[in-house]
Amino acid sequence: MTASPAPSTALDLHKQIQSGQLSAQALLEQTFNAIKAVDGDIDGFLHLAENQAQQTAEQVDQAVATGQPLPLLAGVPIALKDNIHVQGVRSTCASRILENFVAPFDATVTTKLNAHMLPIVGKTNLDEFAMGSSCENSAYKLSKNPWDTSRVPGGSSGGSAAVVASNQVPLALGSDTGGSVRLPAAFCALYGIKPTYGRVSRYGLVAYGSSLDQISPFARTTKDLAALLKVIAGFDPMDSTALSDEVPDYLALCDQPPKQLKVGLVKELMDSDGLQPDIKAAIDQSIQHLEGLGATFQTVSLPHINYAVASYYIVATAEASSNLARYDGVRYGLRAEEAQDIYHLFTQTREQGFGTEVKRRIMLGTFALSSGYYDAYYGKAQKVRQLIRQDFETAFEQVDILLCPAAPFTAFKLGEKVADPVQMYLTDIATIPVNLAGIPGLSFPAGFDSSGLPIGLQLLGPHGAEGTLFSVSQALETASGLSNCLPDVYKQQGVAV
Amino acid sequence: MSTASMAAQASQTTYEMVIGLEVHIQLKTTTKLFSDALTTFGADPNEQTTPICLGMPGVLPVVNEKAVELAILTGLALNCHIAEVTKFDRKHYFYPDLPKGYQISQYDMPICYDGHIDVLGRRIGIERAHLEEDAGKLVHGGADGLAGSTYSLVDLNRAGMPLLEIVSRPDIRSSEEARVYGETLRNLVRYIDVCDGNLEEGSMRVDVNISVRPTGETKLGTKTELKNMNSFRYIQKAIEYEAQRQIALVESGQAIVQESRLWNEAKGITESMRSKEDAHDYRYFPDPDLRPLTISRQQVDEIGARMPELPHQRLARFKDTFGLSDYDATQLVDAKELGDFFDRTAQHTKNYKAIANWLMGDITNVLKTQQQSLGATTLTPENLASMIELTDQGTISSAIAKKLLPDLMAGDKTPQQLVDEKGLAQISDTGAIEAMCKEVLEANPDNIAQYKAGKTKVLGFLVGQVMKASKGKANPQMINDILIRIIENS
Amino acid sequence: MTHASISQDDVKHVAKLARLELDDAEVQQLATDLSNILGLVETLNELDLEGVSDTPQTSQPALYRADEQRHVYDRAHLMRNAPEVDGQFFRVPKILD
Repeated sequence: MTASPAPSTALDLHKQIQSGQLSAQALLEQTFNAIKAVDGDIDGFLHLAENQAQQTAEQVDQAVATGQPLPLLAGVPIALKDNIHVQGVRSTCASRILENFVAPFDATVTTKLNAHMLPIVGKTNLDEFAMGSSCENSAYKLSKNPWDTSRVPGGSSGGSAAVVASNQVPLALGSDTGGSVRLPAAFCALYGIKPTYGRVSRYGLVAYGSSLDQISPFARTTKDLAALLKVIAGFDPMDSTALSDEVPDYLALCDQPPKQLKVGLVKELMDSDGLQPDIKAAIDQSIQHLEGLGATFQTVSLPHINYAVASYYIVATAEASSNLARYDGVRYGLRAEEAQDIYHLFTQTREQGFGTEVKRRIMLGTFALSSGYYDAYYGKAQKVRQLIRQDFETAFEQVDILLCPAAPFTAFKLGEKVADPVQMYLTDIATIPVNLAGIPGLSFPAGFDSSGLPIGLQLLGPHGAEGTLFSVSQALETASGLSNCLPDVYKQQGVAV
Repeated sequence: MSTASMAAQASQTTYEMVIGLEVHIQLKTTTKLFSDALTTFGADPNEQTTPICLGMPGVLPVVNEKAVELAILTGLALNCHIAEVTKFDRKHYFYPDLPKGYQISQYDMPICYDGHIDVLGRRIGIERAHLEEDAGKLVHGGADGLAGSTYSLVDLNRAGMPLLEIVSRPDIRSSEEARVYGETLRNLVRYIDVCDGNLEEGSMRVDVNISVRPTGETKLGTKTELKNMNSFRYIQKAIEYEAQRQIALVESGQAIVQESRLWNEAKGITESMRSKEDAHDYRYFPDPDLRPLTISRQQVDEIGARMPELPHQRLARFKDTFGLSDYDATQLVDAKELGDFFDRTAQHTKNYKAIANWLMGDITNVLKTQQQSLGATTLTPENLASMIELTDQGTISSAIAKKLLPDLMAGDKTPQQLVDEKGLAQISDTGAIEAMCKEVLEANPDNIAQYKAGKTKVLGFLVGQVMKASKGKANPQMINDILIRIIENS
Repeated sequence: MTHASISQDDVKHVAKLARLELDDAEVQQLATDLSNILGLVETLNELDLEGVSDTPQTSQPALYRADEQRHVYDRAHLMRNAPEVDGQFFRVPKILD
């Protein structure tokens, strides 16, 4: 750790803009300079949106100049995963099939960010169509983990994690279907939360696993994370699966320390042979911090959790195979040239446009839904999902939250796991059950391994318990001091003020 | 042949045809089933689309509450059970007019099920009625149709329109029954105002499933599907042909191929659609973007309370309350607009037969000539009733009444006003008529002689002449009587 | 009925359903990959699923939309990304029936 001033948090920057100390446009300029300086090594961004970001920053400065009150987080630059629409900007989903697709409408979250005047600086890299755990399935770039650029940032929202973890922007949005925000958060020493299913609108998020997807924020502190979730959460008449529950003041809840907290430790995830020893140590450290706050612990069992990955890879791929049927070269996107008829237009466009992992999952999902196999696969997987849901419900009758790893290991090397899809799938063993159950899960930095790589752990809560998760996360952050973590080399560059 | 059993040519076996109809009706909503694009007819290609209709990445469906209401209303009119819980499923196939590569439909939990309608004295079961979205339209270029075309054009205005698919049980046993079932269904949906019921325009589409089996056999034979029958006449003819074709195959020991066929009116035969695809594997699964719908009994009752009078109810009422003949009542029930008008006119005059006659006769003739609907004319029930009353009272002759009709249908004056303005009151003054008769008789002396010689028919001519002289206003009965009196006294 | 292994013929059939024109190497690789993944999925057979529902019980009522137009879109804007247009239509190559 160096002696340079601590990099600013999103809320710090917002306050400075609000008070007139810092202009949004100046901050934006610094941001684009940082991107220019840093992203060549990180490859987090796919495309930038200078003009639109500039307009928003101007609006903010204008508001300040005329004495208008600013909405929460106004002026703070943010990056969006390239499967979330910003009108007029490309949404490629890191796929060739959408290479030149320009979003014709804003995602609902984008509309909310615009209403709060956060300049959207650009779109970030991901595993193609959000299918992956390492961000290595992108058709365009290979994003690097800022803590060790020979390693993966995690996936699928690897680009978003990387740009926050390299201090290019303080905030980013990703999407989480099986751990795609919580895993990169853990690999990059970030805070990330997958909200309760339906808490954030999916309108304008390119669908992968419809019953599992949630747009999920990244930040470097709990409060930044809570503020960002507060901005993007809420009912949406364009999304039939969105919750109509009122959005609590997550930011305020961060300052309400948990009292008499009952914490469950998941037996099946703690006992696992594959669990890296450093991670076990980090869990013990977190337990100590929480004990200091008066929390009590008990072991709970989620007996069906070992079936979660199998269930997920049927449900998610079945839904994906369906959601990706629309990419046929007719109305938008890539079209194969010289196809002699419509049948070949479809088959050639899709063959050329989709990468290997996407094709693999489409094939698996199509197979699972095909004639004669529904009960054996999809029907069965949905039933197992129900059992997993019940496991969590039972657990939450005894405890308030669960503490568990986010991943069995820390960030692996680029190329290390690409050869074996099943091995790659097992990376998500601790995150997938959360999506299957639809409950919220927050990933927080809990230490570093012997190689200096970030270790992240998860806090899981029942349906709607984001407030509790933020409160516990804030308490841990204060106790551990793991706040605004950045690799030394990025502390000085970027947007430190 | 419209009898239920048909004797085969070669053997002594009699066969029966087993028919089910699948009818798709386009529901009359303002916006589509899952998006707020408009449904109005005749827009320019792709003008009525939203990102949802185009199946763009990132879009989500939200169900139209009116479509659900109309589905429930239709289900109730078809005596169906309305599901307490219903859901949507995705039906997958690839086609350029299907933007998402799947259609949002209903698979195993349809919104309506187990209903029936009565056709020609027999009860035909309705297995289910379910909601689904329509596909877009294709225009084929480079040839006169699909075959031989070199390219196609896609218009997605229709994609996402709300359809209700009504599936009958295979209870229909003759081509006539099938036709009448279709016509009954069409009348029904028009009556409850859920659909225009227009086969030619495509707001109602009929597919026929038909198989044959020896009479008395309970097992079903292999069926074929006759698709896109766009007139009820064709439905009847196609069924007749197809039944015979299938019987001939069975008799000669050949298998019937389960396939889709089209009716070729020019050749008078059904033809295989010869699809290149294997039978579709639709890979149905519940649509994860839509929550199941819970329909309360209260909701169903509220919708049921809004049910308008159904055709069979109106038919009974017209016959019982107004004493109309079966023929007259049926005509007025079939033409709903005329029936509605009859009801309103019947509040102003008790000469129900006259109302019916006017509506079915002269008024229909004018509508046909002008290519108009009744609602597009200015005719009011009050005016029609008034005209009937004036005629019955003798104020105007029926001939004059006929002349008034065009004005009543295109202008805004009442019959009384027109009579006064144009001086059309019937002449019933004996003296005046007598004078006119004498004039006509003086001009036609031969006719007097003929009449006296026994050719009473010439009276008609003479009456006509007096009518002409009076510009149609003289009371024809009085003319008749006075002429006879004068002739006999001469 | 479950599949412990996927044959290349299975792969070709599924590829047709999914409209993917796979080359021979891909077919072979997918047969292996899918078999391995399904091997993982086979573990679900260990469970007794009698009486377990395959749909979540949700207290969240369904969302309905009023039957009125709320957004107006510009057709040309929506068709900007179209690979091939002909006047106001999307254009596609011939459809063999």
